[in-house]
Amino acid sequence: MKQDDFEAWTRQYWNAWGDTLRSATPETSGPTPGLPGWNDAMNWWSQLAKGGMPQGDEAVSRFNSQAQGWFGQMQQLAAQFAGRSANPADITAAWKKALGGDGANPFAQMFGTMPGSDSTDPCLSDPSQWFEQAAPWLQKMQRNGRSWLGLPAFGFAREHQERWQHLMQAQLDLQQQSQAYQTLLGEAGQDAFVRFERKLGERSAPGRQLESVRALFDLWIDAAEEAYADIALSPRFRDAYAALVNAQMTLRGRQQAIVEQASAQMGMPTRTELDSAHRKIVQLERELRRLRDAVEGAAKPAPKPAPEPEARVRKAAPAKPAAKPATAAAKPKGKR
Amino acid sequence: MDGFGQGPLGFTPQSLAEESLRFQAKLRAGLETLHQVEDVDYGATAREEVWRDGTVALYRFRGDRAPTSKVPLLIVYALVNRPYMVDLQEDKSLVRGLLERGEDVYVIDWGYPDRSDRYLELEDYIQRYIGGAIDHLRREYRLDAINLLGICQGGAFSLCHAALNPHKVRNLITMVTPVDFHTSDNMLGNWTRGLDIDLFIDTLGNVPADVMNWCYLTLKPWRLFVQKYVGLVDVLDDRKALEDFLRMEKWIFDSPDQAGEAFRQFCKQFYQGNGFVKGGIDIGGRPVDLRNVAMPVLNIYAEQDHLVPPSSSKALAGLVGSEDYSEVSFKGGHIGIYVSSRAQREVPTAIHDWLAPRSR
Repeated sequence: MKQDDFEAWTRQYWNAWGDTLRSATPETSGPTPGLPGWNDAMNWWSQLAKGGMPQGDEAVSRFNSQAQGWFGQMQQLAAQFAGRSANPADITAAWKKALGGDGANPFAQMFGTMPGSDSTDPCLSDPSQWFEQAAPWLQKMQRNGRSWLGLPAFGFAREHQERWQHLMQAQLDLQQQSQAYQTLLGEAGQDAFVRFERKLGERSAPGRQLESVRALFDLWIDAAEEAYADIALSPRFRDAYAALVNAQMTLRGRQQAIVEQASAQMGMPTRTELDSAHRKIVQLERELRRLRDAVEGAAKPAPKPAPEPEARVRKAAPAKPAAKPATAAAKPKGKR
Repeated sequence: MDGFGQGPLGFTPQSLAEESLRFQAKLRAGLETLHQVEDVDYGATAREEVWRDGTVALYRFRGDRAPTSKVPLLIVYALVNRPYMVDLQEDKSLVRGLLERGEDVYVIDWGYPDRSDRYLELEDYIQRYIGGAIDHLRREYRLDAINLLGICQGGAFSLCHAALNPHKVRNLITMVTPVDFHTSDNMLGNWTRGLDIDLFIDTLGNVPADVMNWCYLTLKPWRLFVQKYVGLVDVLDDRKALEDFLRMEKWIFDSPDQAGEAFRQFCKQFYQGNGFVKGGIDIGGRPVDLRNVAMPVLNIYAEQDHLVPPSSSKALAGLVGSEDYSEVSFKGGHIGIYVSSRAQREVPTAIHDWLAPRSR
């Protein structure tokens, strides 16, 4: 892959725009097809752009995985309507269609492109994706534990069987909470389309029209953020978010319990044992500091007593505004 | 093109093609600049370590001239990000601005807690570390009390320390500091309130930095996951602007893990219990009552702060015991208050002008 490839793509892309230009005549009905080669070109570009500072490579990766796809789709939307009389409802409908139609959940799509969304860390993941990632491991563990699950919960195997039962219950609960959370994100997505259309309507006034793909893209971002904030500040979201995180933690905790059990059987030190050792060390350090301070305090002459806070405050200059910076106003509270 | 101009879209295929070409030109330039950038390191000001307790260090910052203030100023940053945000680069440095105005500036660096730090508690951070740094400065300067500047969570810690040890704090400045955690516009507060924090910490131990970052980014997911990186293209042909962007990225993602027990206590007592407002904050067996914060207080908040809404910070006015309380409202966001050009002009001046007459 060379820079020449990128230059070639530039030419190809320009030609595609030329085709779009020719097709965008009043006689043409219906949207023009999307511009070809965007994703491939961006992937090329990302590969070419890497190789400098690590921070630069990371930013390029984030651009490629998180941003370019959305911007490319918005370019396609803009190309469909460029130079035509289009009303907000049609533009919004086309955008919705591009994102999956009536069932579109742009928030879930966006979260799904995040680094970490394919991670096995439940806290970093889009919950449904994490569940899919973890499923093979959980299924394998379930198969291994099936013999225990088949036994009645008493006797020698009782504790083992209960651990597996708890794990499976946690798995099911996470699925349920994950769906509830996704439903709220879906609501935010639908609301985002409504707000997008409304904002487009506001931009229909003479002199307020959107003059670029970027402006159209930013308008969508505004609509989506507003819709998300509305949901995310609600008590419903609070409950769903808490239930989801709590379910993730429960499942993770139960996985850890099984891993600990297996580790202990192999004679490996467990996290619980390490935690216990760390707790003791911290407690010992605390005791040591108290003793040291007591010894040092006994050895030193009594320090000069500090003035009483109340007395010092009474002597302090009366409340007055801080010197006023250019635009920041200082507001004295005054005496209460 | 009949009807064109009557809808919300004012662009033509021609203008879109031109926009696309500009976009491509930026990408092409990025192939050069991304390989040229070098300086994305942080820190603009000379500093020296003057005190240490474990992984926690106290640094003194040295300006081009000797400080004129006789009272040192200790900056306490949050645990959730690295404190070099206050001295990010030469033209974005709160520390530098304060030094230029004659302040004698110290900053606590919390370091990176590891698994063995899981059982550190709020008492360790507020009394042992902040207290240790303050006691060191009191000894060195032969002063009863010093000036304290707490930022964000560091502001909440500073309020606690000042309430528990009012005789050691001469003047207190809080910047973008959460006080009322239950205001209706506090998204983080809303999310945290229903969590089973005990389960969370018992499961995770320390809270991984990536978890914290994920949580912060999802406060404004479209802006921070998507729009920001489209905006990156705008600066691909500007090496300096690109370096600034990458330096900020480095800061955002260079986050420490959070010590589990301290996190548990902070979430329960502050985010869930709203302890500054409702009471119930207990640091090492001692209750925190903001009425004991009787020293002069300057409270600086950011008008567009999505992490700590102004309503959360401004609640301080009705809670502290000080009769000398002032507020400064900054036109910007939670990060802009350190790094915007407006911040460089306004924030150090506001702090210094407020401190100077109170530090004589």
